[in-house]
Amino acid sequence: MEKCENMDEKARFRRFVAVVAAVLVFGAIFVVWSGAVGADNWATVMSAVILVTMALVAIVVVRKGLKELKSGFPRDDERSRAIKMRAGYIAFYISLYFLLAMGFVHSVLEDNETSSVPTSEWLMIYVAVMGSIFLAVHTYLNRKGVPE
Amino acid sequence: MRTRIKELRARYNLTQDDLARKIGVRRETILFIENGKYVPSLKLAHDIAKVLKTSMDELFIFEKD
Repeated sequence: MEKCENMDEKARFRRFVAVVAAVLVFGAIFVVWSGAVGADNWATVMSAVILVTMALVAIVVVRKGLKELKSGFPRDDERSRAIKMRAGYIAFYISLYFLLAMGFVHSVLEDNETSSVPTSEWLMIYVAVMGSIFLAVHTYLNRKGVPE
Repeated sequence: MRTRIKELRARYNLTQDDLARKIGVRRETILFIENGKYVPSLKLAHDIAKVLKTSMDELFIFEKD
């Protein structure tokens, strides 16, 4: 039974690593492609920064996962799932307000004709902020425990 | 919420690691439950009580606010 559960964990971990690798490969293709088609330098640099950050986080998560797999503990349990759900919920709402604020700032800048940042770059900032909020809340809850 | 997990673990000579492995959760989960910082699900509370050969009533003590 325990061996079977461990095999399940290994299969789940392999699937997780495959998805992470696929995301990073597609991200790398996107960065190279956006550079090749002559997109704004700033957008290419920003997407490369996001990709490198994602790769670094992925390395840490995969290494931690491998260590946990070897030690025989599950990678996920009800508490870690509850933390992920809570962090996702909080990150979603905070970033929703951030998106509204960003939209407002963007429209004001556009009205004053002072904004030179295209929408695609605003979206990249939004993705980076949303990811950062999720990571920050997740780390906080993981240390504090999940409030009732 | 207070628990008697630590006391019962000591009685059966179990570490947090041992208990976590037996139940199939992470060690930190046991630590947070012991400290009253995480309220486990009914199933997890039942599994812990079963491993520690006690009832949920005796394991978890809920105090009025």
